[in-house]
Amino acid sequence: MDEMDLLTGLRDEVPRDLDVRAEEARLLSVVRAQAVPVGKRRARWRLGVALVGALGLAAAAVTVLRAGEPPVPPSAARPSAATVLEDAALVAEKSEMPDIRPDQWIYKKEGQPVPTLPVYESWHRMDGKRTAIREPGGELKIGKGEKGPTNPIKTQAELESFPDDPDELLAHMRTIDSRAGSICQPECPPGTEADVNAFGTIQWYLKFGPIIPPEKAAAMFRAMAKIPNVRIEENVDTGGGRTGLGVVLDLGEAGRGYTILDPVDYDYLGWKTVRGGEVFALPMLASGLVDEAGQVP
Amino acid sequence: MPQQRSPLAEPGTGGDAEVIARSRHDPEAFAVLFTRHAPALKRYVVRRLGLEAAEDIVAETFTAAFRQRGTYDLTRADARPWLYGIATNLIGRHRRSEITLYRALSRTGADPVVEPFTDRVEGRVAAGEVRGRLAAALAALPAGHRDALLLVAWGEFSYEDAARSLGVAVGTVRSRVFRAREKLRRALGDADPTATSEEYGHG
Repeated sequence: MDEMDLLTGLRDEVPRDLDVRAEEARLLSVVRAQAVPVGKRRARWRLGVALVGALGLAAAAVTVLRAGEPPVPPSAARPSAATVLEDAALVAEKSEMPDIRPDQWIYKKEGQPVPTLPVYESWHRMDGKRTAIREPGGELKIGKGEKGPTNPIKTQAELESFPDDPDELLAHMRTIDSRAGSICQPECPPGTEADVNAFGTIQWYLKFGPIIPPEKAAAMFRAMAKIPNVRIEENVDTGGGRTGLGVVLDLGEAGRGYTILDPVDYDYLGWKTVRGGEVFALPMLASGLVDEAGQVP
Repeated sequence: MPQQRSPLAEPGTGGDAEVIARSRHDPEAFAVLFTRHAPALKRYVVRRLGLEAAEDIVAETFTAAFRQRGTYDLTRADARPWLYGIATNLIGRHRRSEITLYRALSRTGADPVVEPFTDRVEGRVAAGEVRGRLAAALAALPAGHRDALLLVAWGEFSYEDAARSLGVAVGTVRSRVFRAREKLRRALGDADPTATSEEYGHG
């Protein structure tokens, strides 16, 4: 019997079936405070004709652009991260973002990393007071918003406070708490930890495409280009039925993290990580800003 | 070293990551995570800090986890490293009290932590010199070494999971556990290993 066995036996009298009802009650009081339905509301489809028209036109423009894109010859040299991300930054800068009203909702339909899970649609009201979800084929459920770090009012404030200068933004991203899927943590090659943090955190914010101010989106793309070991991979499978332009943080055997962008308008299409032969993908199937919970862009 | 994983931690079988993903839209789903992990986590915390402090720590661990679920890394099917990492931080706020409890055991031979669960007399009889020496050695370890050692010994964590839990490299956990074990061995000192196991075997 070695010291480890002796240690394992220490205080082994503490039973395995301890009463956890008090803790459960405390957790549930917190959970339910966020989950109380606000009452069944009929979704009001009140989307303005003008908005539909605008979106329809935008979609048409994108389609035309896609059709008009010259096919990329297979022998084309692999584009550099600096070139592609600068182009993405220029497109972002030229885009216009309408004013966001606090009573609008950010809509997201994000795929799951595991195919057995249903794909939910979610709406978060911009003032953070309400969230809503819908399961495939299910009814819209509206509940109270949550106060955590994913509250859209916080995200919006954070986005607006980002520096426009890509170097300053990158320095900031290296230090704030990472919010993204891991690539190699906690065994990243020495010296790459801050890069991994910055790459993953920028990716996390890119999910909020519809509410990112154009100059901040541009700075985010330019900051990404400055991260060492970032390269571009074309025709990357998002795991959600599409392929896109992969901005890859490639740390070799330690892992690869992909931020996947639309090859035409550089919209965020998803996140993917490849590590030791395992692939986890979180495709963004749709996202946008809408006027009511239940609406889709 | 035995490795305890969530029975449903494998992808596609309703692992923790799926529960957390679901709970982002359906908060009450988070209760599943509590049912899976709370009893073992509570036992772990009780062994470190006693029954009284454990209720707060377990409740706070799960409410903190619930609030942070939006940032959970869904590529990690097993949430134990995450939960025990949060708990380890909370335990760290009670370091003085943890050390006091080890010292009490080392000094008096009676363990205030197990007393609520055993007959008082039986508890005293069971506490022997070996326990006292182990407790004194645990009290003297640097906090990070004790966290790593106890996640492995009492939490039944692999080195990899302990590393994830503590947010350090596997090599760091390995060296911390190695050095902590060395100190434990030294503390047990020249005690006759036969006598030791006999004494302990009756505990």
